[in-house]
Amino acid sequence: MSQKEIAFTGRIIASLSHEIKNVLATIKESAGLMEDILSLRPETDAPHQARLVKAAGNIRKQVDRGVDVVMGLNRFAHSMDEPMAQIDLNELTAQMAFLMQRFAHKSAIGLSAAPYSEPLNIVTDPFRLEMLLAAALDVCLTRADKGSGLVIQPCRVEGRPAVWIGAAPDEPPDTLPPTVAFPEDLFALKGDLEHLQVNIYDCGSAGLHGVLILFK
Amino acid sequence: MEKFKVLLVDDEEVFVRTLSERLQMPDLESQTAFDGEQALEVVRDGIPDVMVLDLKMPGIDGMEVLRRMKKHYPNVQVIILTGQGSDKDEAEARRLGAFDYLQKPVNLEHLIEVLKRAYQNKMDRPLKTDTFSEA
Repeated sequence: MSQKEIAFTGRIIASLSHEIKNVLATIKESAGLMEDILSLRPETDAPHQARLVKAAGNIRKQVDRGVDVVMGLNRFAHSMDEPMAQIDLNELTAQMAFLMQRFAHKSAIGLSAAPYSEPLNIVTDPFRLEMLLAAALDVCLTRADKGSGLVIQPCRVEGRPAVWIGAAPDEPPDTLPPTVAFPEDLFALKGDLEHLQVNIYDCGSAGLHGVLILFK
Repeated sequence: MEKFKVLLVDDEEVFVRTLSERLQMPDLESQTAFDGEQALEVVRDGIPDVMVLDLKMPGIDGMEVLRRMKKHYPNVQVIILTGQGSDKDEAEARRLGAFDYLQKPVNLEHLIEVLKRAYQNKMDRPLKTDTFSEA
């Protein structure tokens, strides 16, 4: 997609997600009002009162869940705003764990994000970096054993910002192992590496279960 | 705490009516307006203590209502409650003098807490002169 097409897609998704938030806000207040009314005289034995209270509570919980989803969708849409933008890798990796949660769940793998101890800001193409990280996560999900855990975390390797996607309990390396190789199953993304100014390393040959995305 | 007046401004009519109904409390009186123009008319008829204001509305949008309120009714505390704001909008609203900036949907308990703080803030500050005729 061209940048113009990406920006258009992002604008429409962002606009619709804002509208969904308005819908959820109205549902939440309506359910809340039902609960308020039902709690006015809790001692009464009105027909189905307990069931109505439970139903209103369920609506509120599902709205909260919907809000989390729509916030994630909204952040994703805004990643398409600009071809280059400053981002914090802590926020981006948390967002990626959120966006890929369903895929991880389908593979019966626990996916989580672990923040770096301080903000790790870089200037990059946020949308294409998300695509690259999603592809790397897909590969790692395919390789991981069912029931295992996968962590995506920003880190510094040889002083440079990086993102590590690895199987717990392996930690990202402090230095680049000499034997690392480019993961063959990510070959299709090789064209984006120059644009994103990153290298990808498969650390399996160095005895680590993970993929390292290192910024130049 | 004595009874204080809150004006809720949002073009989502069902939302704002429902919220208003939920805010019927002994120490709080709430009114509604469904766009910026109507909000300014309601204010001309009776100045609220606190305004809860959406940003994206047809006609005079929330940011412009905030600007006019802070210019002509500086004592009114304005809380932004929006489902559409960006970080840039939040920075701008705070620069213009918004008391707080909340995202929709909001927990009612949290909104009530912010409303009470906003009212207290109004009472604690020396009153400025309203210039309502120009709003």
